[in-house]
Amino acid sequence: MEIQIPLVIFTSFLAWAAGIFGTQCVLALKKQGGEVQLPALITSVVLLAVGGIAVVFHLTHPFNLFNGFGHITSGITQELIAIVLLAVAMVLFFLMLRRSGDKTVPQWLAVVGIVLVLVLIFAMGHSYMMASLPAWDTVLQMLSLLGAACVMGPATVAFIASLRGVDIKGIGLMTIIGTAVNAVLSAAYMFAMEASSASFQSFAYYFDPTHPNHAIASADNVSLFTGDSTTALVVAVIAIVVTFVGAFVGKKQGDWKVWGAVVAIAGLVCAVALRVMMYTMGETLFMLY
Amino acid sequence: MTQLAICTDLDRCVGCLACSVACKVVNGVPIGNFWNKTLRVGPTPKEGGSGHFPDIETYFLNVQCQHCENPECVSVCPTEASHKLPDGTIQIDKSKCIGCQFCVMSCPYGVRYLNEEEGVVEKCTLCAQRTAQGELPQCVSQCCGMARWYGDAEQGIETFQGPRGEVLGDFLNDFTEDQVYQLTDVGNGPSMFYIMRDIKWQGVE
Repeated sequence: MEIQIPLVIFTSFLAWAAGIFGTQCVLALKKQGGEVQLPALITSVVLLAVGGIAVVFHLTHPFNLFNGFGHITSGITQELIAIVLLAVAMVLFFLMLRRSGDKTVPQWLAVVGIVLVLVLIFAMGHSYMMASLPAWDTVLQMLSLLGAACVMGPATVAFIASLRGVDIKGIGLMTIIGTAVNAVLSAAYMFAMEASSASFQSFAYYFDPTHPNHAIASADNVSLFTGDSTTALVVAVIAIVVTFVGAFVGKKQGDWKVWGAVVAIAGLVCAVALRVMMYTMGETLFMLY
Repeated sequence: MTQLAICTDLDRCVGCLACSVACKVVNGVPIGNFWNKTLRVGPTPKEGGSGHFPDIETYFLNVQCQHCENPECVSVCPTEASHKLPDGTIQIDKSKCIGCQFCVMSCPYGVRYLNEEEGVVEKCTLCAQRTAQGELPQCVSQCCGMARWYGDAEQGIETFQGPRGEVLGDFLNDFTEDQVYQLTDVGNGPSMFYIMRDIKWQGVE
């Protein structure tokens, strides 16, 4: 399938925004990192907006956005609801921060924030789970977005904290845990994608008289180790290694100004590469048309 | 309940592409796109044969929108542009389509495409403009092999109508229930039928 760049940006950036806001909520629960809450919230909102704007360009006309969304069984509608709910939680978070004297928010809001982050991630992942596309139709696809949020969120917050000269206790460990979660979930999804080619429906030999010069589509050609998928696979693996190196060196040196950025960007690269693989592996059950 | 559908006797289909071409002409399908595609499946070695000619078999398979019972394309549509009518067919309201292409992705058979010029998704309508006037879908009326038949699946495929007015059950050679095939069902419930008597159906039903 053709790579849908707006959707790649949308899912990756929303996972990033969700990861940052989720990390903020975890810190709020621990009553830590008050100094970074506002800049982190602004970063998260900006990333949410970037993702939201990007997805508009996936439509044949940006104004189609106003064409009557609302069919509740649609993954797109569910995503939209989840985004609006998260945005409302972010506004509340902002208001509570401004009202608070000690730069904290109520514990219930932190819990609601974490729940909405998870709702958004699972709504995004679920909208791509289609029986027609074996490489997408797995819970691991959904969980790979959670992995992206886990690696990019803590790393970005650590980076912001270091920029503001704030030391947040435990942020290094959170980054390492997030990196490990992302590595495991991304690797698991890549294995699932590779295994999915066994699900394609083969018609043995077939010939398409309407495209006599086209090669016959074959399930054997749908693999992470062939064609465009290979490049994305190599990029993703390198990015995972870089996140590990960055997280461990960052924790050891306590210098998140450099390593926080390295981990967050490598996490984004990994997320984008995985989404690219989704499309290069995104053949329909019948590869006839 | 009604479920309009097409039944194709693959033993009668000669792969002339008349159905594919007629469909493009009557529905104005853009160059490079198809609402109804005729594929040649084979030659495949016959079971128990030498593995070489003449122990081989071939059939032609017409793939189009299967007007499914539980269409995933309808579920994923955010604006209800893709919808299922009471007659069982799946139609697209182009004024509502936003071109998100999630329906294209969700179709197991890949029969939908984005019309770049109009910015909306298209696929086989089962010639709703013709059937509304009591006519047959163009691919059925144009089939020179008398392979394609149209009717309400709820009434049984034996009641399906052919281009000359005959009924499938009276016209076609005898067939048994296990000689009637459908494309692989991944929960969508395809509604199109394929009859094939002596040749082995390739792929999972």
